[in-house]
Amino acid sequence: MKSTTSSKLRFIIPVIIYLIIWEALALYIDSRVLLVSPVSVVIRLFEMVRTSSFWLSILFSLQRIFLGLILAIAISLVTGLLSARNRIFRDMIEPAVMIMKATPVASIVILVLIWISSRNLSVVISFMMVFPVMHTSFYEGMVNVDRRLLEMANVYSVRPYKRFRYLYLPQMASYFESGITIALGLCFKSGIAAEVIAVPDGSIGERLYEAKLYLATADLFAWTLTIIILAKVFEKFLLFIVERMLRRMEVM
Amino acid sequence: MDIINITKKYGEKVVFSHFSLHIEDGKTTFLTGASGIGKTTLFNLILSLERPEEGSVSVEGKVSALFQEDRLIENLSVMNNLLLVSDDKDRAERLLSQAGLGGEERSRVMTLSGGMKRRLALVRALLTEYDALLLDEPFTGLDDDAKKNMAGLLKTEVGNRTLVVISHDEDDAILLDADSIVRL
Repeated sequence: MKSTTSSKLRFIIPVIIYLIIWEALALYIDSRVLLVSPVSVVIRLFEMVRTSSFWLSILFSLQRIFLGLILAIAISLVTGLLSARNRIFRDMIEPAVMIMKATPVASIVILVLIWISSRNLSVVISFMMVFPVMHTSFYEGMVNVDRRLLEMANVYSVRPYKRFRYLYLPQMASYFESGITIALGLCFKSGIAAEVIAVPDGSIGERLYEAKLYLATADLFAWTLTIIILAKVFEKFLLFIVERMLRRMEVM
Repeated sequence: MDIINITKKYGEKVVFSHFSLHIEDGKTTFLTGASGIGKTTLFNLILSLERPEEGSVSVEGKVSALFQEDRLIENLSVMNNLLLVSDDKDRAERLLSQAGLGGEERSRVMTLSGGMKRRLALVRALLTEYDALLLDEPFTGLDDDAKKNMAGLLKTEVGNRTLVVISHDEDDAILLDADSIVRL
């Protein structure tokens, strides 16, 4: 209990210090365009949450980012497994994963915009950001299974399904947890960045673009705060669901 | 079970040089020797977990084994560790009870003591189908009563099948009524 309180304080105190510095800077600069104060951001956010367009924009962007994320997790699970089992497959997929990791988001956005409508751009971008991270996580999980337990499974002729569930899945789950934390941050950041470039109607990206266009700094900060909160809530929710599932399966 | 003229090295260190051994089917053979002599290497060679540089190991039928380390899945329950290797839940429950682990079916392995884990690992080795059972230091961490109990269970369960026991402690040979003792 004590350690939880102290770890909360260790997070809250620096945040309060940053907020004080921010407020002081905003007062010093005294320009709502250059730097808006944290109080104004919170007031603007409360105004925004009362409008239906705020929630519709969140729904629009979230469902596409989520779809890209789920597709990436499902496909990377298969490619991660196949890579660990088959050298030729691994050799074939590694260059593609490497290219996905290294290519700048802006280049992918422009290229994808040539192929598909801007409405579904964030699905592809979210997928392309999450896939390489999760593929590597699942692959590492598979190849790092305790060799001694695998020998045990061979000696006792443990069936493939039980081998996967009790030997591979726990290992992959721990790699999944660290991978998904990175991947979620990436997919939100790049998904919204892609929307800012492509400006699909009714998206969070469009709202950010409008904020830039009308120099509405308070809106920009309020939307940024919304995105940070959404990404964090999403991460906690996903990890909670996965942990519950794994606990039920006695994997964790 | 035949080990024919094997040579096994780890780098420059020669563990076996043109070593041969015949293990009779249906008998209990006790292999002993000083620490580092190659007892566990022989265990690994019989199970094909390692290969000799020269010679061959010939094993007929299915072999079950107890490793020197328990190799249990710590976060799984006792019963699920057993169901990993067999679907026969009734037999698993019976063997657990005979090994003094009755009532621990739902406990996670990580909560068991060292001696309980060893007994569970032994039960798991007995639960699979086998023609020969190979045990590496089977009674590590067990007190005298538990040793006697597990030796009794082993003799009953193995019956007329082949039992090969590797141990540094020759007293284990007496407990298991070994038919022959091989000193490496």
